[in-house]
Amino acid sequence: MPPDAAPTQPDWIIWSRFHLQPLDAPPSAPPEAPVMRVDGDWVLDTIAPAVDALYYRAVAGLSPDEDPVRHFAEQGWQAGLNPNSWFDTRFYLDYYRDIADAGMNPLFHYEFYGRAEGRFPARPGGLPRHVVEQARIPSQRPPGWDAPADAPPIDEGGLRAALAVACRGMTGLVLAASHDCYLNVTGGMQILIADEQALFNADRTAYLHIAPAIARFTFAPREEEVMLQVSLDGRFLGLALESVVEGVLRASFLPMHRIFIVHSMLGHRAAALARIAALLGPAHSVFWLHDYSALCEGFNLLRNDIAYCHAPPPDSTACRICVYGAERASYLAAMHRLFTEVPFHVVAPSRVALDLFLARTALPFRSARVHENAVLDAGEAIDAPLPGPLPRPLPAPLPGPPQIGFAGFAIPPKGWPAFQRLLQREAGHATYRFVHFAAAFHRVPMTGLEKVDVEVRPGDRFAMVRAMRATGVDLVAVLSPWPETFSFVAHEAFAAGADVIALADSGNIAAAVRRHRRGVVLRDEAALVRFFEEGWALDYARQRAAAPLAAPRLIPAGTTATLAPDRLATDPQPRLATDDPGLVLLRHDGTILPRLPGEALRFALPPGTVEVCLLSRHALPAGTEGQDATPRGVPVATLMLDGVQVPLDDPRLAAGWHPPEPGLRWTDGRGRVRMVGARLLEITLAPGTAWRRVPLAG
Amino acid sequence: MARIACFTSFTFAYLAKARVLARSLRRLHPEWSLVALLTDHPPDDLAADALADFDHVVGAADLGIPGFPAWIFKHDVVEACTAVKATMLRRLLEQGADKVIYLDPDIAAFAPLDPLADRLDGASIVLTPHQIAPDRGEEAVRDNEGGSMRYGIYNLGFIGVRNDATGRAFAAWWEERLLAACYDAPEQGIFTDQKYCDLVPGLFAGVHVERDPGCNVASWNIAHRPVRITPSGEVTAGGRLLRFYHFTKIGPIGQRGPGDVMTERYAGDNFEVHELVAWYRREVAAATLPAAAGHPWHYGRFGDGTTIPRAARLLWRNRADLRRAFPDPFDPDGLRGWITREASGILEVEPAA
Repeated sequence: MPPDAAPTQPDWIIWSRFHLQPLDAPPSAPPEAPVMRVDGDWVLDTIAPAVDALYYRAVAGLSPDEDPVRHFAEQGWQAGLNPNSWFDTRFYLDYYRDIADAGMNPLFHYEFYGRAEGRFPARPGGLPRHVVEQARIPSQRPPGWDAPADAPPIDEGGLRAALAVACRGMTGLVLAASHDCYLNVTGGMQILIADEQALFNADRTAYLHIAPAIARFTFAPREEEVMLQVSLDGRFLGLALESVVEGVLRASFLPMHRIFIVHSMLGHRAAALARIAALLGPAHSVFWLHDYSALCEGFNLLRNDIAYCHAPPPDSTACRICVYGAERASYLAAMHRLFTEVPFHVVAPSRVALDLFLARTALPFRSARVHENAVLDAGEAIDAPLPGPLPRPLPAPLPGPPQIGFAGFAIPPKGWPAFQRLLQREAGHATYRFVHFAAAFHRVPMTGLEKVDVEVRPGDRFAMVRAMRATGVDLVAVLSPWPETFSFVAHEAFAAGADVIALADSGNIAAAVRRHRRGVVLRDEAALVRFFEEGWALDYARQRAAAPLAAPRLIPAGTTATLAPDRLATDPQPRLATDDPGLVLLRHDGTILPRLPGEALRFALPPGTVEVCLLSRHALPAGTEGQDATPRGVPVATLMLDGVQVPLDDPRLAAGWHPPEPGLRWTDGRGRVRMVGARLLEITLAPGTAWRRVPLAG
Repeated sequence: MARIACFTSFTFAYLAKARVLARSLRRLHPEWSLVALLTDHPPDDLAADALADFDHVVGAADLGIPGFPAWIFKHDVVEACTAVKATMLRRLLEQGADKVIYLDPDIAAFAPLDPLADRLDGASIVLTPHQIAPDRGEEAVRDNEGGSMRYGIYNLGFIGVRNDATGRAFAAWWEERLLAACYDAPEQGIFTDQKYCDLVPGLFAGVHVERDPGCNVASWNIAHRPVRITPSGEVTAGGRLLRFYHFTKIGPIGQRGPGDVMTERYAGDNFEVHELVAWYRREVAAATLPAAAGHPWHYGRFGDGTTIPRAARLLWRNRADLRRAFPDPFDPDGLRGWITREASGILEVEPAA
C-alpha cells in the first residue's frame, strides 16, 4: 500500500516508504534501574539515582563487574564524563566556578544543593543557543585568506599569454566565478566545477575560473578591488586583480563563443562581475542556484544560523532580528543591479530550489530551469563492486541493531545538532548503532558513535558510496534543517543502498526521499526523537530488511556543459525538457562522461572492455514511445568501433535497442554495445530531440 | 488622528538602549511624537545627533519640580528616572496629547502598538501585568509571582493614559505619590513608581488590564509565552504577535546581566528568545556612543566629583534638619562636609549608581 494512503500513520511522519508501527526495543538491553543505594557513603548514595548505569557504562567503557556509581565518583567526573544524558559535567564545573574551586563532585553538588538552588545541570538552550550567540553579521566576520600561501602574482601580460595558448584551436571560452578555487578545495560544488571544466575542455572550449583570494560571507566591499585566484583549464595560474582579468578579456584572440557562469558570488564585487561579463560578451550567462545567495546573504536561509526562515520579505521582523537581515536590502539591491546588467539563465539543481527561488525573488532573469547535478539510475545497474579501497575502520557486518549513519561535516547546517541530541539520548542503549562517515579531520569524538574515515575527492568521488555500502548502513540521517538545493549526501546514501531520514523542510532531501521512495520524512526534530525512542525506526529497519531494494547508480551529470546552453533561450519547456540526453557510458567499473551532445561523442575505453551500456535520459515527448510502450533513449545516427562504422542492425548492438529506422536507431535508455576488444567508441545522435530532465520523477 | 506622545526616561549611560527603543518605534509609528526625558546632564563631547531619534528632549530639571536639586538627591538613579515619569505624563497631557504612552528604555517594539493605543479609545488607563498565567514550581512562583507581590503586579515599563478626566486625575495622583516617595523600599510597601499602581484598578474607573501575551514579554513571563517565528517572518509570543519585549537587565555583548540569568532560566530551549536577545545586544552595541556609555550620572556625584553613597541619600531623605541646613546637597562644602565630619564611614561605601 502506498505510504501516502495510510491513514493511521501519525501526522509527524510526513512520508514513509513503509507503513510503520512502533516496536519495543529488543529485550537484550534492559535498562538498569536507578537504585536507592545504602552504601553508607554520603556521596555515593546521593548520586546513585542520577547515574544512568547503561549510559555511563557505554560512556566510560566499563566492564560488567565495575560499579558505574563508584567509577563516576572516583574517576569519571574528574575525566569530564557525563553520568547521564542530561547532566553536563564539564558545563557545571565551568559555569559554577565555586564548585570547581572547591573540588567537589559536581553531580553530588547538583543533587544535594544545586537542584534546589535552581542551578542548571547543562547549558540552557544547548547547542542552538550557542549557534545563535555566535552568529555574526556577514560583513563583520573577519575575512580569511583563501589562496595558497605561495600563490604567485600574475600580470596582464602573463595571463594574456596563458590564455592565448589555451584558446589555440578552441571554439569557445567559459569564464566561471565561484567563491573558492575548485582545484584546492574538495566539496560537491568544487567537484561539479571540475567536471564542468573537463567537459567544456573536451568540447574545444577553454575554461577560465576566478575566485576571490579573500574568502567572505558576502560581497566584497565596493571600494576595494578584489584579488582573484585565477585558474585556466584546471591549472592554477596565480593571483590577479579584477582589472587584470578585465584587461585580457579585451584580447582579439578569444574564441567567438563565450559563456559566463556564476556558481557563487561570495567574495566578489557584483559591479566587477557585471563589468567582466560585459567585456566577455557572452552568448549565454548562467547563474547557478547551488544555494540561496540570490535571495539572501544567508545562503542557506538559516535565520541566525539556526532555523530555516522561509525567505520572508526583507522588511519582516524575522529579517530584522537576523544577522543576515541587517544588510539584506543593500545586498539584494546589488544583486538586482547584477541581474539587470547580465541577462542570466537561472539553473537550479532541483525543482524545490527553483520553486523557492521563483516564489521569493524579484530579480529579472532570462529563463529558469532545473538541471540536476547527478541522477540516480535504478534497475539493472552493473553490479560489480565499486573500485577503490575499503574504508577503515570497518564496522562489524550485520546482523545487529539497525545502523544509523551521519555523513560529512558535523555542523549545524548539515543537521549535526539534531543528530547529536539523538545520539545523546540513545547512546546508552544498544537499540541502534550510530556511524559517522567523514574525513578524519571532520569527525567529532562522541561516545556511542563509530567512525568511518571517508574522503571524497575529484579522483575518488564515490568514496562515500563505497564506504556506506561496505558498512551496510540502514538509514542515513540527512538532517539539514534548510531546503538543500541538491544534497550529494542523500544521493550517495541512496546509491549505497541505504534509506534516508529527512526533515520536512529539507528541500531536495525530502523531495528525493519521496521521489525515489527510499526513506522517511519526519516533521521536525521532535519527530526524529520520537521516531527512534518509540521504536518506529526499529519497525522501519525490520521492514526494510524484508524488502531489499537494489542500489541505484549515481551518475554525476549536471553541469553547465551538459546543459546545452546554445538552446537555453529557445527551450519551449524549460522546466520539463532538456537538450541534454544525460548520456554516459557505463562500464563494469565506472562511468565515462560524454562530451557535449549534438556532435560526435568519443569514448576511449580501457583494454579488455567486453560490453558497455549507453545510459541516457528518456526522450520527449512521451508519445514517441514505441507501440510496446518501451521508452526511447537516444537516436543513434552512426556508431563506430575503432574507427569502423557498425551497421545499426549489427548483432553487437546487443540489447536495449528499438528496431532500426531509416537513418537511425533508438536505444531504450540503456542500449548495450559489445565491444569485443574495441578501444574506441564513437557515436553521433540524430538532431532535434529533447529529453525528460528528471528521469526518475515518475 | 489622535495625537500620541510616547516618552521614555533615562540617563546618558542608558542612551544606547533608548536609541534602540526610539528606532524600533520610529519604524512602526512615524506618526507618534517621541520624547526623551533625561535625568542627567549631557557629556561634553556628545555627538550633535545623539538624540536625533527623538522628536523632543526634556531635562528632568526643567519639569518644574519644586526644589529639584534637593528632591533629586533623595534618589538613586533608578528611583530618579522613575520618580519623574508622572510629572512628564502630566505635562504631556497638559500640552494636548490625546494619548500618552510610556515605555522603559530597555524595551524594543517588534510590531505596531496600535492595539494598545486603541485600547485608550475605550479605557483611560492601560496596564500590563507581569504575569497573565499562574506559575508552577517553587522557584518560578518565588521568582515571578513572588516578584509581583513584592515589587508590583503591573510592570510600569509600560503605561498608556488617555487625556480625559480620569487620565488626568490618575496623572495628578501618581505625581503626588512619586514626588513624595519614589523609593526602592519594599519593606515600606513601596517600589519606585510601580507598586503604587497596584492601587490603580481600585482607585480609578476605566482601567484596562492588557492580557495580550505579545505585550511586555520579558524573562518573568517568557515561560508562558513561547516565542515562535513564522514562515512569513512574524515573531509571535504565546501565539500572538510579539508587540514589545522588555529586555530587563540584559548584559552587553560578552557579559551576563541578571536578566540573562532569568532569561536562560525561563526561556529554556526556546532558542528564538535567544535570537531576540542576541539581536538586542547587537543593536545596543551599534547604538552605543562612547561619550555617553561611560558617562557618570550627573546626580550621582557631589559637586567635587566624588560619588554619592546611597547611605548619604537615605540620610538626606530622613533628616529634615540636614535638608534645612544644606539647601544644595550637591555642594561639596555643605552636606558632604558635614558627613565627613559627623558620619565619615558612609562615604567609604560606593553607591549602586
